[in-house]
Formats: sequence, structure tokens, C-alpha cells
Amino acid sequence: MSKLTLSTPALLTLSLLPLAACTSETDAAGNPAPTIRVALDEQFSRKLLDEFSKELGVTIKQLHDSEAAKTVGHVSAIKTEAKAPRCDVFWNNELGNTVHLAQQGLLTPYVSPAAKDIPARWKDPTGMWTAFAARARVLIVNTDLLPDKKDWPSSYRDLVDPKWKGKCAVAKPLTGTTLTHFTALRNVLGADKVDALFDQMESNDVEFLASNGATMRAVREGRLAWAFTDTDDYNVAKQKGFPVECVYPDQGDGQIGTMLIPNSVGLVKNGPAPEVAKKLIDLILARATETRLAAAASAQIPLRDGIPGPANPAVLVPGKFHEMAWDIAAVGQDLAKASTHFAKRFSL
Amino acid sequence: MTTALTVTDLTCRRGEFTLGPVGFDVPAGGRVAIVGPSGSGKTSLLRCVAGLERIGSGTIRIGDQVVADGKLHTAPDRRGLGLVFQDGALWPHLNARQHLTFAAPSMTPAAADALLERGGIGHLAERKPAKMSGGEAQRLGLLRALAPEPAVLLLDEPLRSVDVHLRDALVLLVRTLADERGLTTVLVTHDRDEAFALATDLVVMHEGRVVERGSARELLANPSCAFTAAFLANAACLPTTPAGDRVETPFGAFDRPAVHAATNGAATPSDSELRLVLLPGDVSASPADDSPAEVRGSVLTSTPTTDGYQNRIALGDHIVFARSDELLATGLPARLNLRSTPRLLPWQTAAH
Amino acid sequence: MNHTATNLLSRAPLLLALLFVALFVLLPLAELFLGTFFSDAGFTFSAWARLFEDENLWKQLLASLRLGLAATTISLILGGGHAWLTVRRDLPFGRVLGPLGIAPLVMPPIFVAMGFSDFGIGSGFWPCAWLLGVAHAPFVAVLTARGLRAADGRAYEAAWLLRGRGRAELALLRTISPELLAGCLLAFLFTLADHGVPEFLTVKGKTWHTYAEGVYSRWTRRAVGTTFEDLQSPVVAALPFIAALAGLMWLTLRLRAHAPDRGTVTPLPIRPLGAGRWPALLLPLVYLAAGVGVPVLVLTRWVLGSAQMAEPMSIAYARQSFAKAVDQGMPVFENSVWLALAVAALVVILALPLARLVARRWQKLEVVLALPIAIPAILLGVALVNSYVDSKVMRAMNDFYSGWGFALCGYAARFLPFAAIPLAAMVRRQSLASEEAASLVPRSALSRSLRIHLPPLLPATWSAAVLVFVLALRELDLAVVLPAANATAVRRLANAVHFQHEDWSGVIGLLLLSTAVLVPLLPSLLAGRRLSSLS
Repeated sequence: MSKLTLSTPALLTLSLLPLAACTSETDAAGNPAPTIRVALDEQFSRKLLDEFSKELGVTIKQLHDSEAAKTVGHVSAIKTEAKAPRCDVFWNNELGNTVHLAQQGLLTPYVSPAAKDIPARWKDPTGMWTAFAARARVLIVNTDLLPDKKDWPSSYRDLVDPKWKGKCAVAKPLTGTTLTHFTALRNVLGADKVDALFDQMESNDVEFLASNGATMRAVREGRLAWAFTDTDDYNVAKQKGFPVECVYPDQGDGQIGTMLIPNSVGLVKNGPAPEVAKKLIDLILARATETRLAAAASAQIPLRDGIPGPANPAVLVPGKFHEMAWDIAAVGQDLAKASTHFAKRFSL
Repeated sequence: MTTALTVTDLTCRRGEFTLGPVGFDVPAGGRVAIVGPSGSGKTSLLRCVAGLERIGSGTIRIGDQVVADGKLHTAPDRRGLGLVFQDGALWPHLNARQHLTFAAPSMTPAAADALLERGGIGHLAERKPAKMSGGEAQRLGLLRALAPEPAVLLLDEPLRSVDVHLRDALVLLVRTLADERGLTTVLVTHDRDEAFALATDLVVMHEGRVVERGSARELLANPSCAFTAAFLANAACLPTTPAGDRVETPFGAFDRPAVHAATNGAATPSDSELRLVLLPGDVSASPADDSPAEVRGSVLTSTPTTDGYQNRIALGDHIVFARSDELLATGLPARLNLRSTPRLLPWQTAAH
Repeated sequence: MNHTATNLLSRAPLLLALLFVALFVLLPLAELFLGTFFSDAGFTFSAWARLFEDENLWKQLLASLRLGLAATTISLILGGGHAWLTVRRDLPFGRVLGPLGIAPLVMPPIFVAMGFSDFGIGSGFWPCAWLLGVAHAPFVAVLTARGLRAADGRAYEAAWLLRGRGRAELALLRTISPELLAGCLLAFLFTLADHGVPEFLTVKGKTWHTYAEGVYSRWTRRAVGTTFEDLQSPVVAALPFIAALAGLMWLTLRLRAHAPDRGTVTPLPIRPLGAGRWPALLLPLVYLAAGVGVPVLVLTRWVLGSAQMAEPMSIAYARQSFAKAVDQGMPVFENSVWLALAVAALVVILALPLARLVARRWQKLEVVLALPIAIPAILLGVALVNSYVDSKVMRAMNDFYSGWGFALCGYAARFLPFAAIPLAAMVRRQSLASEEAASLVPRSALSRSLRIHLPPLLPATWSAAVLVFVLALRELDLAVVLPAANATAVRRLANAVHFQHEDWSGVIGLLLLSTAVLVPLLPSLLAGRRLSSLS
């Protein structure tokens, strides 16, 4: 046996490490392949992005987050990589964190021609981000426990109604859409009122669970009567045959309405492949994409006119319900403060 | 005569212990034993010679080549030495044949088998150490050290883990193989019998220093210091008190001796260091009587020999070996008488 | 090749391993630590000041301590009991059940939590302690079993004859106490570091959060943080925690090192359980059911369609689940397996020279090597990204940062202690004299390494490689942070479960578990090696 046997594998392994790095690819014009960070359900987004790869003639590098970390992984990574960005496009499944990144100067303007028919309120005036395909913050109801529609809750105020003591849940507003939702509520209702709301929720034994997925599970399995969740979580549970329905809360006169939280996409500042990245954003923002997202199991709600809504009639499209008005820029600005505030509330 | 191994002014520090400076040489083909009690530094010295420890200063020369000085440190495998470890230090995953072929890269399996045969363990060629007795393992340790045909063979208490009845056979094997190959052997041991069996010359060590060296016979018959007599010959070394030109001892006053030849010209030892050295044949014992002038001790053991009894008698903190014609009762006092003129020797000389 | 060149080459593995530790453990952590003192405005203690102003800090520490003690007690009862019954007593099927004591380690604790929640088992402090206790009981089980196997049966019998059975058993307990305590400390350590299970089991009324949860929460807030203090918050919060865990780790290592090497001993006499023989089976069965059985059952039910109500559970549904898994999960599953294999190989190559260095010359290095165990994986990932994201060297190396090479190094840095520390313990058990005997042989250092030093370490090396393989296969936090590792199965699985794809997630989960179980069994299947050697 060669005397080199012991050191050879070590030397070879370490010397081959650089070769294990991904080989970069280029499109027909010689532009490098773009990298995208995606927070949308991978089962759907991967296939879509694979198709985009074919259209662009270049393999898009896809990075997906662990949903356990919500979009935290992506946002943190973009921040950490700010000194040498490796990602070109951020496709967030909500809006608050994208606005936050834009405000931190980590995104760069790009006004996509594909977004011209998206309502102006869902586009950043400076072109830093564009929103599309939304989810609504709804109440998921277990119809075995609450068979009569008349008994269903109808407002966020039901969380503090003694009638529902110990029977409903909301996710802790520390990350994701729940953080965006409650940060928006602080703006709409006032911080003091939201604090009072939490005090009352605690007294009413509302369960504060780890995520919207957890609240949905608690309801679909009949452990709780109802809970706040997102329309995608509700729709999948419904498709899987669980006895659940959804309620768009606060639809009455004078009520605040139901919050819509759209997907959002932004071009990362100083990303390595800006040219192809812009084309990729165009494809993401295309009407066809929003149409497909609406038809998918996650039942994303199209923001544009003329795109068919999700097959499930319970998932309403804009115009069919009273939307909560919220100041997107203000929410982006307040996210950090609200997050710290809520964490303290939960002794974290 | 050429020297196979020369150690000059060697020092080595291991934790709190400092070895040396020590020096000695071994002629080519010589058989030397480095002896001394535990902690005397003999094993450290051997490890320095083998290259397993770095020396602080001094030189080690093997043949004509300096293998270590304050700066130079030749790796153990490049010194041309063989070392037999006290517990064999065999390689648990290799069989006997593999031990030899690994130890000597040029050795063929057939040659290894022949050497195993020569060492009396030819039938164990395929066996691993776990399936060998202590004696067999030590034979293999010896053969492994011999396999690369070293010029100098170092042995670190090779008989320690071997049953008493197997020791003679192993001693014979070491001596025969060493003679056959004209090997220089350096043995380290605290066991006098082992030293006398395997070496002709001795280097006596105490507290990191060489106290005396010479042929085994000469050191036994005519030690130049009390420590050597005590270690090699079980001599009792009783303290003395100076009194003018004489020194007081438990056996009376004696003239202070002139400078002893064997001190190699060292300064005259101070009186307080002089000891009355009583070799086992120097004293006889008998039951104590009431004579006030007699030297009395307490009988520890009394065992029969072919011409009487050998007794171990406690005299203060010292044990005196004394012969008697009759059985002495254990625990009772016995009278001690000098049978010949005793030696007055310094406790320790600096032979280095 | 001349002697000097050969010697240099023989040192190359050690030098490379030390370089690796410096580059992928020490440098990133040092940079991260120093970064907490330097804002854009210059040197500041503000991030640290804010940490110590946080009133929740001490509450969280206390909660961690309580949870750690409760979970460790459960680990001790289950793991220690399992080892005691299978090694020391005549438990039915003891020979099969014994090696299975390590099995729950294969399962990420969060999976166990999901499994239990599927059965509607409640949440709160005690379910959390129970889950973490079960998940980390293998440390106690394995180390106790090892201690019992190394205990001298003759010494036990001597004590029995002199002082009676009760005293003999007590004496035996004292003999194995270093291993027992080391196992408990490891269980305690891992419980303290887990944030997923306590978070998963959060409910209204939960008035306690562990320190690890606090660190993780700060990490999530870091994403939206805007100030220097926000961004440094998870790092400063984690560092004292790391120091405390490293201290515990050091203590564990010292205990292990002080466990006497009892060499080849007469095995302990097996004591009969008598009438309690069959009832005693309950403990290992509860332990294994909780640690492995329930999660496997849940995954199997998912595959069969338990997580939907549109149709009943069926084999036909399972077929669909498999088809979806092939479509959705196979590439990432393959990535996971290859990455875990590469990590295991690299870790072993790095660990062997380091273990020898630690055991023979530089014992203090062991604490440095243990450091990655004490660091939350997510923080190690952040530290690595922080140090290397804009490295020009990495860019020159074909953008090493974005590729599998960087993921491999990150994983290897994380799991190096799991190989280096047990291998160092094994090196210490080898006879130094035998190695010295080899050093006198006129062979190259490489030849000596291969023929003399390495072979006695092979069984321990294999065990370490298997452990690292299993841990790499189930690693989630690093998979989220290191770019290439994003395409691994556990990361995909965590996401898929959230999006209600339990059906094919169950398939991938079972495949991961089977792989994690199959690899350790390979030597037994191929070469008939005894199963117990794994534990």
C-alpha cells in the first residue's frame, strides 16, 4: 500500500473542495444565472421557477427558507450578505419584510413593465418592490364544532369575547404575516389599543401558538373552534377534506376590514446578475403567474382586475370584500419596533 | 577498544525531575546494566538514549555519530537502536510475523519465521499478542527489537512481567542472541538479579546522577560508596559520628579512612556522610545476654541455610543481615558481633 | 522521497486539520464576537449593555435550568434504566434492545414533538421536558452501557462477598459514575441548546421561555432590526450561553478523561430479574416507543393519508405519497445523503490527527474542539456566512461560498467535536509504549500511522463517522443558512410539513430514518460485526 494513503484522502478532499462549488451558468447573451430567494411554498414555486429557467435559457439558482423560520432566514441572509450580495431577487410571501429591506437600502429600484396593471397602492413609488398575489388574514372555523354559520366569529374583537374563552387562537406576532398584521393593527388602531387587546386576549385564554400553520392545525383537528390564519393555510386544509370554513373578519360598517397581505418581489442591490434578474422579475409579475398562483392549492388572491380568483368561492378577491386600509411604508418602518415590543410581551 | 555508546554530560528535565548531568560509555559488544532504585532516572536516561525524550544538554554518541546534543535530536528510528520494553509494548492488531516484518522493512516472511523459530516461538507466527503468555510476548518484544539488526540493544526491565520460572530461559535467549550478533546491550533495571544475569558492567544511579560504575564483580566486592553496597549487596549502612581522627559507630570507634581510591579523586567525604557498611557476611548474631557493651538488635526473621541461619535484624532504622549458628526467636533481642573489619564509606560519591 | 519531505507530508493532515479549525471555527467566532464591540461609530459596549438590561434574561436562564434538570432526570431514568436493564440484568431480548438504546438519537427532537402533537398529547413544561428527555436519553444510555461493560466483575464480586449485594451495587454505581455523569451532562447540554421543541409546545399560559428560545427569538428579530444593538442582539445573547455550555462541555470531557481505563476486565455477572423479568420490559419499550416508535408511526400514518380527510387512509394513498416524494423530494434526499457522507468522511479525516494531538500532546485544544457543540448551529452558520460572504479568496475559488464545498466545511466544523473527542479518548486508551516501539522502527511516519496507530482506532472511527453521518443528515439550522445546503431534505421537509404536504414528507422522513439506521448497520450486515459495538 502506498505510504501516502492516509494523507491522500485528506489532501484530495480539501483540494477538491473548491471544485465542489457550484459551477455558474450563463444565458445566451453571456449573463450569469440569477439567484432567487423564495419564501413561497417550494412545491409550487420550484416548478414555476424551473419553467422560468427554460424561458430565460439559464438555470435559476433557487434558495428556499425553512418555513419554521418564516422569511427570517432570507431577510437575515440578505442583510448578512449585504457587503457582497449573492442573491438577485427576493420573492417574499408577504410584504412587511420586503418594505423593511427596501428601507434599509438593500433593494434597488426596478419598475417592471409586467406590473403596469397592478394597482398603484401595491407598488413602491420608487420601484423598490412590487406586490402581487395576496393572502387574506382570515378566521378559520371548525364546522364540526360550529355547524351553524350564525355562530361563527366575525371580527378580531371575537378574540376577546368571553363566549370564546379558551376556544380560539392566534399565532404569536413575532414573525411572518402575523407580525405584519399586528404591526398594521398598531398603526390602524393605535399601539395602546393593541396592547389592551392582548391583555384582554390573555384574560380570555386565547392560545398564542408558534405559527399560522399551528393555529390552522388546532382548528382543523377540532382542538379549537376557530383561529386567525392565512387563506392559503385554510384553503389547503379545506382541499384535504377537513371540516373547515373561513370568515373574512370585520366586514361590517365601520369595521376595519380584512387585511390583504400580498407576495412581493424586489431586486437586490448590487446582486451579481441584475440583467437576467430583471427578466426574472418580469416573469414573476406576469399576469400568467398571478393566474397560476390563484389556481394553485395556496389560492393566492390576484390583485389585478380580470384574473380569475381561486376556485374556492370562500376565498374572496378584492372588490368582493371590505379591505383593511394600511400604510405599507409605515408598517415597514415599525416592524422592528413592533417585533421587539411583542417579544417583550411574550417574555422573549 | 571502540565504544558503541557514549553519553557525556547529559541533562534532561521531565516535570519536576532533573536527570544528570550524567556520563558513561559502553564498549562495542559490552553488556552494561544501568541500575538504581525507582525514581533514580535510569529509565529517563534510557529513553534519552533511544531518542524518545529530547535532552537538555550534553551529547549522546552512537558509534562515531552524535545523535543528540542540546540542539540536534536524531529521530529514534534513525539511531540504529533496538529497544525491548518492560511490558512488551506489542501491537495488538498484528500477529508475531507481522511484528517482525513491520519492524524490519527488508525482512521477508520466511526470515521472520526463522527468527521466531530461533527465539523459540516459531509456532506462534500467526498469533496476536492477546493470545500469548507474558513470556511469549516478551520473547516477541525481544525478537522485534532484534529484527532490524541494531548495533545497540536497549532493554527496559525485560524480565519484569515474566514468571520467575521462565526468566532463565529468556536470559539465556537474550545472551545467546546478543553474543551471536556481537550486540552491545544496555539494560535498565532496579532488580540486581536481572542486572547480574544480563550484564557484566554496571552503572549505578541515584537521584538523577551516576554514583558509581564498574564491573559487577568489582562493585560487589569493593564498592566505593555505601549506596552501591546497600543497593547491590543488601549492606546495612549505619550512621557515624566524627570524633577527632576517629569516627564513632554503634560498633565502636574506628580510624577515619584516607581518601578512598574508588572515589575517583573526589574530595574527601565529610565525616557526617561516612557510613559503617555491613555486608551480610560481616556480622554474626547470637541470643542477647546482659553484657552492657554488646550491640543489640531485634530479630525480624531467622531462616535456615546450609551452614546455620540467616537473620534479618532491626538495628534502629536499619536492617542488618547477620549469620547465626542457632535459630533466633523472632521479636527477641539478639547480640550482633563484627566478624571482620568493617568498611567506612561515604554514602554517595559523584562518579560522574 | 527524502526523509524530511516524508515527515512534512506525514504532518500535512494535522496541519490541514488545524488550519481547518482555525478557518472554520475560531476565525468566524472571533469575528462575530469582536463585531459585537464595533458599530459604525466605533468601539462600543452598547449591545452588551442592552443584553444585561433585559429583565427576561435571568427568567430565561432559570427556565432553562428547570427544563434542563427535568429533562435530564427523564433521560437518566430512561437511558440509564435502559442500559442497566440490558447490560446488567437478564432482560428478555436484552441483546437486541441494548444496542437500540442509541436509536432515538436518529430522530430530530422536533420530529418527535410533531409526532406527539399528532396524537394530541398536550403541551407545556412537562411534555416539553418529557420529549427532550426522551430525545437525549441515548447519551445516558450509551455512556452508562459503556461504563457497565468496562466495570470489573471481579471487583463487584469481591465487594459483594465483603459487604453484601446492596453495597456492591452502590460501589458499582460509583465506579460508573464518571460515564453516567458525562451522559447526563450531555443530555442537559443538548436540552439547554434546543429552541425548537419549547417553541413548538408554546401555548397560552406559557409563562416561561428558555434561554435558547430567547436567543432564537432575537435571531428572528434580527431580520427586521435596524440598529447596531438589534443586529448584535442574538450574538451577544448567545455568547455567555456558549461560554456556559463550553464550560459544561469541558466538565464532561474531564469526567470522561478521569474515567479509569479498566482495560480488559471480567464482565459483570448478569443478575436475574426473577418475577420482574417481563414487566421490566416496559421501561425499554416505553423509551423506544416514545423515542422512535411514535414518530415512525406518525410518519407512516402521514404516508397513508392521515393528514387529510378527503379519502380514508390506504395503500393506494401511500402509492401517491411515494410518487409525489419521487417528484418533489428525491433530489434533495440524494443531496442530503451525499452531503452527510462527505461530511462524515471529512470529519473523520480531520478528527484523526486532531485526536492524536489532543490525546498525546495538547490536551487543552480539546476545549476548542468542543466549542461547536456549545454554539447554536444557526449562530455558527451566521458566523461562517459573516466571515466568508465577501471573501476574495472564496470568489477566486469558483465562488466556493455558494457551493457545496462551503456547506461541507460548515457541517464539518459543526460536527467535528463528535468525532475528535471520542477518538481522542480512544487514542488515550492505546498503549503509549506500543507507539514508542513503533517510533523506533525504521519506517516512515506515514507507514507507522497507517500500520500501527490507525488500525486500533478503526472501530471508534467508524462509530464516529456513523454518528456524524446521522447528525449531518438531520441538520436543519445550518441547512437554512449555508446557501448550497438549502437543497437538503430536512430543510425541504420542515417547509413541506408547514405547507401541509405531510403525505410525501412522511415518505422522505422515513427514507431519512431508514438511511440513518441502515448505514450504522452496514458492517453488521456485510461483515457480521456485533451490533453492540455501535453503542
